[in-house]
Amino acid sequence: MVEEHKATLTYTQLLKEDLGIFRLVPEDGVIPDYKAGQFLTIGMPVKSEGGKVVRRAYSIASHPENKKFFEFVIRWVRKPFPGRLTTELFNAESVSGVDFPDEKEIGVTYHLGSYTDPAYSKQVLALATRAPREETPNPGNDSTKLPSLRDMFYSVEFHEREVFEMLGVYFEGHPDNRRLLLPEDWADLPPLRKDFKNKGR
Amino acid sequence: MAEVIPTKEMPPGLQVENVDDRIMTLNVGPQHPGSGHMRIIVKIDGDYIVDADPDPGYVHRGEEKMAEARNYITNIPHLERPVIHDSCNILYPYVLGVEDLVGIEVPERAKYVRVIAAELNRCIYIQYWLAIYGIFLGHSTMFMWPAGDRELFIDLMEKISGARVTHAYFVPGGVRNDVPANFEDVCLRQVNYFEKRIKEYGDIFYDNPILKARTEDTGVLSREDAIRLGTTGSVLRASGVDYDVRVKEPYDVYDELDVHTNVLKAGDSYARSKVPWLDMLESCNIIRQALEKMPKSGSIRTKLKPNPKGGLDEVYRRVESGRGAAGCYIVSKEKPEPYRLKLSVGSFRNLIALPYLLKGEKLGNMPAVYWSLNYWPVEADR
Repeated sequence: MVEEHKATLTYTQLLKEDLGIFRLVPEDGVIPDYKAGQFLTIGMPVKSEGGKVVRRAYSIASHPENKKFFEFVIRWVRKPFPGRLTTELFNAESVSGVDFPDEKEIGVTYHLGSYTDPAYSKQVLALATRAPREETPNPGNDSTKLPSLRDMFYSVEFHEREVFEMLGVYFEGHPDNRRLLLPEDWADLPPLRKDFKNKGR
Repeated sequence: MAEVIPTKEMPPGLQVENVDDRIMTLNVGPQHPGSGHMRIIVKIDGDYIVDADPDPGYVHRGEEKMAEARNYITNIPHLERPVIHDSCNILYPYVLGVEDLVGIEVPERAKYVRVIAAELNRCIYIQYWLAIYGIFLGHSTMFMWPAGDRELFIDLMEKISGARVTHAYFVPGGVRNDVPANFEDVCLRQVNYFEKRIKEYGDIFYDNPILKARTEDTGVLSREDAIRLGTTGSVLRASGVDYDVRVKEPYDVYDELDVHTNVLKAGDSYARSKVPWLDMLESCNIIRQALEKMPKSGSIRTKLKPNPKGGLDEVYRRVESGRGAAGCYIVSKEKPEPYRLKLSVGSFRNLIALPYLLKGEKLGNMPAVYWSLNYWPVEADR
């Protein structure tokens, strides 16, 4: 479930000109349970974009048993080369959605490879995450949402569009969330969910 | 011009578009030979393309959904349907993945037979693609020659597997049946003749000044963009990136063979059309090496148990197909059927480059750019 909370920035430390430590405390002071490796989507109104709330996902760096604050270590990737470092390293081989109805979750696995770095050219990096699943899906308007990786890896653009139409996972921040393979007037369930049955089977 | 404001909640996918008097929208496809089974929505200002939006899905067949209801053996014939001209290479990652899941070893001879069959199929596919590329540039000889010459290898594959195009030849554990008795001699003779034949394409097609004037400097994809967009196969190698899965992550016996990667630097339509041709010459080299090193006798298949099951596991394997890296992601949940099977194919990955390449081109150059992407609509839709 995606919940919105307000939080206060309690501590900042600049380690380098482009690297800093930030600590956040939710307004009610309660840190929810989370697992190591989970991330938070942090939104902030940006004046230069007319007060629009810009949301980005950040990995939590503090320990799950730390119930005082969330800590983040954030590097600023400069504007002329947005995400250049990571795109030079990785390109999307495939993005696959997997439906887990028993666990009420939908998994999304990104398989990333590298063209430029010889050390990684032999390997495929798999990034897996899960989104909540709803019994009666309403793609785009329900809680099945994930932040888009398209800003970082340009090559996931069409892959994420495919996952959206096939499993109903909406990618927040994706500039073009239209249908890709399915017809425009498809009104049935997203077809790769397990409760969508093939006719005659 | 009044802006259209949608009054009620719009269903997903429906778009409202404000029309400009100057810009004309043109639907190329999906039943147009110039686009294959795909629609390209092109916006043109006079003769120049200002925007292009690929709309695949016309031949979407739900291969991934079908695979979830069939077991690992009955999945074989329908998984090669997305691209029947390259049926060995599209099955290759699936077969490797299932072998990883079930945990069986493949006999040495079967590995060589697979490599030979895969390279023969690569040539069959590239010849078909080259025929289409030729006819869309108005070069009818380049349609006739490859369409005729690919029959050589089709006959060879028919001798091996019994079917002209849909071979269903690879199975987890090896190949379906052994090659015929005089296969080595026949194959070597055909490959030598084929190589001599396709070298003549250089004189009639690739050195043709009219073709060069038409395709050079059209649809240029820079090295940075090729990497950033995640393109693969001949599109990537034509933009100067040295990447071939056969070399970088060798599967089966590719690590024992000497595989050369063809890289061109220009990144234009001409380079993209030339790389597959060089790949065919390289395939001939690989087949000759494999024929020499192949064990002359031995088993060609490790028998599977009936209804093989994978564990609670997932696997991602990739190979180099005729159109770039082809991957297969299988999630297994201790059932005879895959829980989820995802095909990641080169055509789908290269499609993202199309809007970038077409912007600013003349409409007349669209076939030259579009077909140079080595794009197979049926494979991209799956």
